[in-house]
Amino acid sequence: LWLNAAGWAGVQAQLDETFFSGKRNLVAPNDLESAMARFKREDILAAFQPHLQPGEEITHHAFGVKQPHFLLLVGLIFLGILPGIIAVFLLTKEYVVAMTNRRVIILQVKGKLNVKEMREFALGSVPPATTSTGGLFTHIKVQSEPPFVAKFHRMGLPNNREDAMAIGAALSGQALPGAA
Amino acid sequence: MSGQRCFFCEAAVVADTCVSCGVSASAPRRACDGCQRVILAAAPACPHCAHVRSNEMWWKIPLIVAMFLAVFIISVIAGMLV
Repeated sequence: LWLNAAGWAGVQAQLDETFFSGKRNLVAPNDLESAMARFKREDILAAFQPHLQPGEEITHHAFGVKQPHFLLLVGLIFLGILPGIIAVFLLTKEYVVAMTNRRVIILQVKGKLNVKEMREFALGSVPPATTSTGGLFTHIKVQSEPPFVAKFHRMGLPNNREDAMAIGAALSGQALPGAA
Repeated sequence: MSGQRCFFCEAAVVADTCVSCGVSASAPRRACDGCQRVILAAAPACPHCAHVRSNEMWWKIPLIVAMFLAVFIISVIAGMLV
């Protein structure tokens, strides 16, 4: 990336303001989540747009992954750290999940939100599902054919934890804690 | 859900199953790389244009094995040089 003198001065001023004005202590948690987010909210909503029915509205959306089995993950990294990490990256599936007023839509994506596969569960007829929430991840497992299993990191997207919990609650038929 | 239509044949769906073709409404689906029509993700070939989808694992597994072999060979050579 080549910048001209004026562009570089602008970048330098922005860096000075960020790092030397004390503003770095005022970063809101939501800003941090936005900075760490895998995708932008607008891009995710655009990816779901072709799959929506007339009158259907997205109420929650979340980003999750399905990694190889933990023992395989540990074994690969034990054999070699760098190739192990690359192997885990290659074997990880990425999902964006959206809940609408009618159904839950699951898109398996690769790269910059290129949709590989799509599936849906109508909210009235979801196969048995289990969810659990830990310190970092919300796990969702739907016992469909084939089963859908994914875990959602709390920093995957802004409000990823809350959205994943809401989607999990809708799939498993449970009420969210604190919900009326 | 009432009014739900099968993604495969547009027939009505009852209890998550299409009354016409028997496909599950929640089955994974994808666009065929050949004709771009929606087909079952598990189908090895497109029923419309017979386009066969290649499995991504055909290059991922050899790449992973090659990486580990390369690391092993490099470590052996480095051990001989030290």
